[in-house]
Amino acid sequence: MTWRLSKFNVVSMVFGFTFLYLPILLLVIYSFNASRLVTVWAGFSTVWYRELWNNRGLLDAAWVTLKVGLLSATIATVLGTMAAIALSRYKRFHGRTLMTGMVYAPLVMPEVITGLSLLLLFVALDLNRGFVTVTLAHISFTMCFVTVVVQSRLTSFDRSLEDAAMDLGATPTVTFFKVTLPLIWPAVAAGWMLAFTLSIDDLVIASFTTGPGATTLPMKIYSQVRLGVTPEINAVCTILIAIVSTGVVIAALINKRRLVREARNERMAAMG
Amino acid sequence: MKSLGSIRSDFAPWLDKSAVPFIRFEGVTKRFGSFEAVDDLSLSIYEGEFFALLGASGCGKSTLLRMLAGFEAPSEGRIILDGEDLAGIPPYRRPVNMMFQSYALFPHMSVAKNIAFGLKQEGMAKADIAERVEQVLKLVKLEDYAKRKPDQLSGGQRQRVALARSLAKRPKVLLLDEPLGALDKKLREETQFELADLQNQLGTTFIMVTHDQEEAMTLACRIAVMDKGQILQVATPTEIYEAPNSRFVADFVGNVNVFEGTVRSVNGECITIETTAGLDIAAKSEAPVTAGDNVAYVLRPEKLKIAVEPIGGPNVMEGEVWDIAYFGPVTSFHIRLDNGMIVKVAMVNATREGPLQLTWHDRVFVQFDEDAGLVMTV
Amino acid sequence: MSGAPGDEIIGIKSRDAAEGKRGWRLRPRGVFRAVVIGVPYLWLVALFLVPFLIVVKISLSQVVVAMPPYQPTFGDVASWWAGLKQLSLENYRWIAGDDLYFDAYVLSLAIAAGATLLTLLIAYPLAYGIAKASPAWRTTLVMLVILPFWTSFLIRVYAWIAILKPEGLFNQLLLFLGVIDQPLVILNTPVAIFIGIVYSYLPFMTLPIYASLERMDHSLTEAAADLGSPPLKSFWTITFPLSLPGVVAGCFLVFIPATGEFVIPDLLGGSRTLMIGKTVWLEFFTNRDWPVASAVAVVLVALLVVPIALFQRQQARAG
Repeated sequence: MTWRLSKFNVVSMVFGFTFLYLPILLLVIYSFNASRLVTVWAGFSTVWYRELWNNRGLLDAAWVTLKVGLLSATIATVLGTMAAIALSRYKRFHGRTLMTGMVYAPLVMPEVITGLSLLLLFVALDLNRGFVTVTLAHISFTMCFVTVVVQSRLTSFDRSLEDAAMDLGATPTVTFFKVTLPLIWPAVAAGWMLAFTLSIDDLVIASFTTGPGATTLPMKIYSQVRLGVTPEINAVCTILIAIVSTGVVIAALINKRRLVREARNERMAAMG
Repeated sequence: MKSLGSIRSDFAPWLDKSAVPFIRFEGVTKRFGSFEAVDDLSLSIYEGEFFALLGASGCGKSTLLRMLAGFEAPSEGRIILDGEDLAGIPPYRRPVNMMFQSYALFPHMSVAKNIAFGLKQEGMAKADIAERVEQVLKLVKLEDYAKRKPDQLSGGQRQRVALARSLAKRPKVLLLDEPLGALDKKLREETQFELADLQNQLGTTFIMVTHDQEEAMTLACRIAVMDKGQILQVATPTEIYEAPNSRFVADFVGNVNVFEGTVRSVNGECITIETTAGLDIAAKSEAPVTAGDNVAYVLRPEKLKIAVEPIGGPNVMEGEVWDIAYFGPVTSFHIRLDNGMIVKVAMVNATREGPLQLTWHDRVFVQFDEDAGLVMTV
Repeated sequence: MSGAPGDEIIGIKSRDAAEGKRGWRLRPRGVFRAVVIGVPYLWLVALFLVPFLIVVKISLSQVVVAMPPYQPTFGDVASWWAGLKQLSLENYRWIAGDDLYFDAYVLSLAIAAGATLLTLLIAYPLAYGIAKASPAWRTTLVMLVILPFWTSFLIRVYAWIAILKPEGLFNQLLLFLGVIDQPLVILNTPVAIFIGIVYSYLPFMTLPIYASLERMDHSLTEAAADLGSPPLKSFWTITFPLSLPGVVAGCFLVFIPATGEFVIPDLLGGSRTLMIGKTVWLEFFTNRDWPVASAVAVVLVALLVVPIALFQRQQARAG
């Protein structure tokens, strides 16, 4: 089979990727601009990064965001994985339709509605808004994304592996921890990453559900952006992009090493 | 029905009226929604048997196996293993083990860990596990591969690991789901003999599911031919092939020529059949028939002879060579009789030139003896 | 072996009865199943379904200038019933009576629909190109589509402000090239919202389309070519229809959230282009009228309930 790309294919890809990356690239470049004016290039400088270091407000918000993200992503991964198993392994139980609905609806539900409804719940329960409520809210809206990621892995999973484990005497719980979980681990990890990213990225739901003392980084960025473009925000963004890119590159390298190992195993199997 | 014997003629507990079956399916029905995968089926299997469930895909054979393993529960009826009703016992508490069609080897565990998995669940001591693993690896001749991962093994090696893993717990019954299905032809033939030897050596009851009639014939003591959730015939391979109890079984296991017609005269065992195509067939019938009965005469292709010159004997028919298929050891001819009917004839290529120098449209004579085929009442 | 092969086999231990007495709850299989289904189920009911019902409830209650700024209609059971009698459609009448809300709904749906179509026009060729690339390249290209998604959504929207504003980079480029001699006003117009939505939601459209194209058997187009169909015709008769599930999934993933989008219209659309997500936000944070905010949200969900249901059906079928 040949993989020849037509001119049209190349042009559409170049256009698509330029559109995706140009704004981010510009943002990174201008974070090193010496001038406060975003549109005028006044030479290379790291002044905004140094300013950032002295901005207690931003650093505190980043710390809150990180804590909320780590905690909510972890709990959401546990709950989301459970839901994925329930939906893909148990075809018949009471309220399965309702559960399917409650898993897929939040994926597309406008954030203002999710945020508003959770806030009203917390008010009704008389919970003080803050770290706890924003974490609970993030668990709820990110767990469904985890479910979708894990579920797609479970669907392509060879069910006879679980049957085999039970046939060999493993109870469902042992089967899950010894066979299923080790094999779906990459999907669970991807689900966690997704939940974490959604959590640290969220502005709307956090704005509704958080309270004094638990301002998140996106809320801080938003309030500064509302006042106008500032180079400090460019610097924050560049740091975030750098962290994410590093993570993605590491993930890609691990993945590549796995592929190399698989190829080696195949050769070994062929040789007997 | 006369006994036509089997490979192990000394082992035939199903003929012993006092023998207690090891496994019994009693009126078992399995429904998936409105679909009946298994329909009121009863079956007895004896200890030490190598039993084959043979049928096309969707005939219910795998469902039967999965019910025995505990992955499906019967909608009706019960399954008894060694005197114990299996109802309500989950798969992980049943004394049966299964070798899966896909092998289902845990990809994240080494060969040794795969085999040890079931033993660990039993809570066996570490030293005993190591000993047992070594033992079964030796049994399947994979001692040197203990540390490898499944994806570092060839197809044949994976098959043997799957077998070793399912045997490690010394189950009362070993279930094999299309055990050789994923192997290529050459390897399959070799493995068939190994598997048969292994079963002989261990004496464990094996129940195999397969759609491959050849595999069932070579391996099994007895075969159950299944269709639409029901068992059509349970018998030894020889009986299934030489004395099928229905046209479906005859057709499913090997090739057949079918002559339909009515009995014209009966003289003891010897009868004359007038076929709908206007031929007269002299035949011997084991089943009692009377004149006027509608019957079918079912004849295997290798039971016919072809000659270029007119030959003697009963049932000589004339025709022309319509098609030739050369298989190597045998050649299959399609002969178009003068009445338009096509008959299949198989001839062994005993010499390198082949039995006859036949080519398309040659005039030939076809002949078969009275007892070459089987009379079946319709 | 002894005994007769008759139907009363001696010594059959019926586990049925024993198992029945102990009850299914005690079996490990039952416990695992109950936990795996029950825990996420209860969570979703408590933090998705119940909150939404509260929104409905509050949308039917009256404004009180207090903290919390609505008449609490629940608490103990007695006041719950009393509360039910106080329910009124006043908030909905208010929404219906003010053109501002109606216009916001229409504008939101129109912008979401238009942006969905635009996203599709850019995403399809992109996905098609990736699917046609060699397998080694494909992984990298898919990664490149996903990568921006991992970076902050807020940041990516924010990046466009610097590009689109009158003295921004886009206008500078056009002025430099001599295409225009007056800066174009793009920021704070619907055009900027379109750009923002297309940009932010591009991966959501590209990935499902790519997935359905990649799954497709390559020999299908070869068979079509072999049967004498020219490439473009093969595309429209074979490739495109088979990629429709991906297209549909992508459209839902863009259209539904875009309708209620807040950040993009707020940062790029300016104050004159009022979309419904922003309306909810303003009612809630600025006007502090929680019942009306709830009513606006309920109407939005009512508008989206059909596409959401269709999306769920499609996802459930694919899963």
